Amino acid sequence: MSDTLVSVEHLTKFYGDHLAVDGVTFGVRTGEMVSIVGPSGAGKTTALRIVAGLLEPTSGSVTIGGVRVTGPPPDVAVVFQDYSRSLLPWLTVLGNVTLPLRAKGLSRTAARTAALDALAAVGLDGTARRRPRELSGGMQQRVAIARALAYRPKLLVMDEPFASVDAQTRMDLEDLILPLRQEYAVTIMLVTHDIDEAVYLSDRIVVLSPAPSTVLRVIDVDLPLPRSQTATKELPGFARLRHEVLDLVRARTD
Amino acid sequence: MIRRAVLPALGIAGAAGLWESATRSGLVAPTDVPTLTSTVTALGDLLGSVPFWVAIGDTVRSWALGLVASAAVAIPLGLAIGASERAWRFVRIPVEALRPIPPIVILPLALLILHGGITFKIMLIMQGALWPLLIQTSYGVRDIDRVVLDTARSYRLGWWRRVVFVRLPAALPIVASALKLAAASAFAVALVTELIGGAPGLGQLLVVAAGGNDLPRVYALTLVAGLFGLLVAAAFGALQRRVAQTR
Amino acid sequence: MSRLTGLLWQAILPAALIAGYQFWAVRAHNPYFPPLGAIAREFRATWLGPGFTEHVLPSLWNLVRGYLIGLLAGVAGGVLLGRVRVLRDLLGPLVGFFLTLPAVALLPIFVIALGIGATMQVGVIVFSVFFVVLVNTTAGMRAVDAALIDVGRAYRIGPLRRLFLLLLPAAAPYIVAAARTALSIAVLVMVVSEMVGAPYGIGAVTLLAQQEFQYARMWAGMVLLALLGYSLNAAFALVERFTVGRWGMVATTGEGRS
Repeated sequence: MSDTLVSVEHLTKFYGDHLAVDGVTFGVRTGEMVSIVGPSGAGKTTALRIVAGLLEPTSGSVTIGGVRVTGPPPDVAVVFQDYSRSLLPWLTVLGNVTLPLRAKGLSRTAARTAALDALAAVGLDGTARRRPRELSGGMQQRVAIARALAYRPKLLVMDEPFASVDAQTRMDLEDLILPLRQEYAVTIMLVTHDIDEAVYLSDRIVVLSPAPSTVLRVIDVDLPLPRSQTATKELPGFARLRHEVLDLVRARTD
Repeated sequence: MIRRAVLPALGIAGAAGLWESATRSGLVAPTDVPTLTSTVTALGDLLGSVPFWVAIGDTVRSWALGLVASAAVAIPLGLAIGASERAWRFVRIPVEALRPIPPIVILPLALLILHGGITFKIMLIMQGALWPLLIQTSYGVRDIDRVVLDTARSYRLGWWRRVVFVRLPAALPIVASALKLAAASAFAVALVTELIGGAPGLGQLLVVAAGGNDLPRVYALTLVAGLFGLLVAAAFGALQRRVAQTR
Repeated sequence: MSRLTGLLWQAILPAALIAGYQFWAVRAHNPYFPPLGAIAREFRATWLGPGFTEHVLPSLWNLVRGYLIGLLAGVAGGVLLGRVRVLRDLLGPLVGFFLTLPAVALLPIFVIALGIGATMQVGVIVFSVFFVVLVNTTAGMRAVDAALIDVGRAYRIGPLRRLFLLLLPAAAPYIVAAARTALSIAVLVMVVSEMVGAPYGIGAVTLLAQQEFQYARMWAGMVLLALLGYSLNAAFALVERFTVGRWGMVATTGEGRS
């Protein structure tokens, strides 16, 4: 439980002359859920894209399971922020989920079974033949999550996954993710600007400063499991953690 | 940055070199394709000859008149039709049905009645340009944001002001892009009337040169047609960008 | 307003025009404008008898061949230009030149190189379709949403799947719009190519009828061409509805030509 799956070391990224990320170092242990928070404009998404192998760092390195990331690694799945742009509108829900599996070499039937299981796990039974745009925003993001889970990644990387849905749906999706962590035995790295969300979901929180981003603090979240939207958020510990993160994020933006 | 300027030049030079060497080496028979150098010489001769400029004048005049006539009819009519639900329902289907009919269809009849003069050319150009312009303008007028229209209504702007100050500006980008397409199609149709209908102009020179088997001249004239097409596209592309900027 | 009355309302103008023409033509006895009955008889005699295999089918076969070759080549070239920047820079001006050069202006050159016949006709049609599709496919490939590219990379989708399941459908609004424009251009070019001395084909028969004072036959040709243009366009609207329309995408008009 305590061995390190992801280690990010001295990550630095320049966009032209603009220094976005300046020597960020942190680790994610196997089975853990780590959130990366920070004010908007901090290099959260940049760091995440480097971890996912979608972007080259200027210097520093990312290793996942001891292997250095040089391109998108085989056991990493990504859930992107904008479901309406990251699902393929010309494929059915099933087609969207099976596409990466088929690309990975699974047989048609194996891909289909895995996809239907993942769709059931996110509560989308019976939607396999529909097209993404026939579903609500929250359901579309569930499809994107099912696509990621069906891929059976060691690491699931999520970039503001709930930023584009309404508040109620957002809570539903948060509560969907928590049990799925166990069910799919997956390590999760989540980028969010929502501090409540980070505290509620995470085991640890990495707080980044505004650009050029550095790690301000790594905070352990010692709230009991299982968590609940009402009980957990009423705990004094929740309020304390929320306060701590908020102070860090705000002190640096003012 | 340098690549952006060098590569296109290199591409043109490469194509020119390929043309010249293929025709010189006999890879392509000189009776099929003339050499680049002889084409350039023919182009030089053309540029110094009066009939060439007269032909250019004929083509450009009919192109411009046909385009202006189409726009003068289609844009106001499109505005009026698009602004009225009733008129839109009444004419949409017939106009949509007329639009895909190639302008060449009426060539035999128009040739019969108008004997290949400039009216004949303008008629054909209009069949090609008028309907798309009309449809696009009415679509543009209808495509307007409901809220903008409601705002205009709530300030009690009259029909005329609503059309001129609210609907027309909203439709302009679509009208500009339709104009660009119409300008290109008007040029092609003008050439058709000259090639098939025997109307005076660039196309007729092309037919004569081809009849005389004067290959360098045929290629030089085709080159001129392409350059004019490029000019039209550039001019109307600039217009389109300008309109897009004002929004 | 119900659907039926809506349709009726829209049919008033065309019906009135046709009725008006017939009313006038029967009385005017103008040889240039024969009555509908005469045109219909000539239509049947010219196009639906042996003329169908002699003229209509060859015309359509040239159109289909030229259109499909031009379309496939244009898409393939567009994919290449969209993906390879050096090629795009290198060939940019040449492609621009051929895009704006009206295909009909190339008829003399094609006639000289290939002679009058099916090869020449198909060649001009291919040319007229190719560059429109090429330019718009290139634009479509360039406009693919970065988010989709990310999905393709993050899930390590291989090149073939990436092309056929991701990039091409994403570029479809551009490609479909170009294919539609190209179809109407191809019809025009087909007819014109038959009017420069071809011994057979719809265009040839129609122009010949005019020169031989067979006005009813000329009208029959005009009607057939109009029907052809109309129905091909209508068929294409269906294609559009069941592809990009169904995916909730809108066909985008990019660069056009004639």
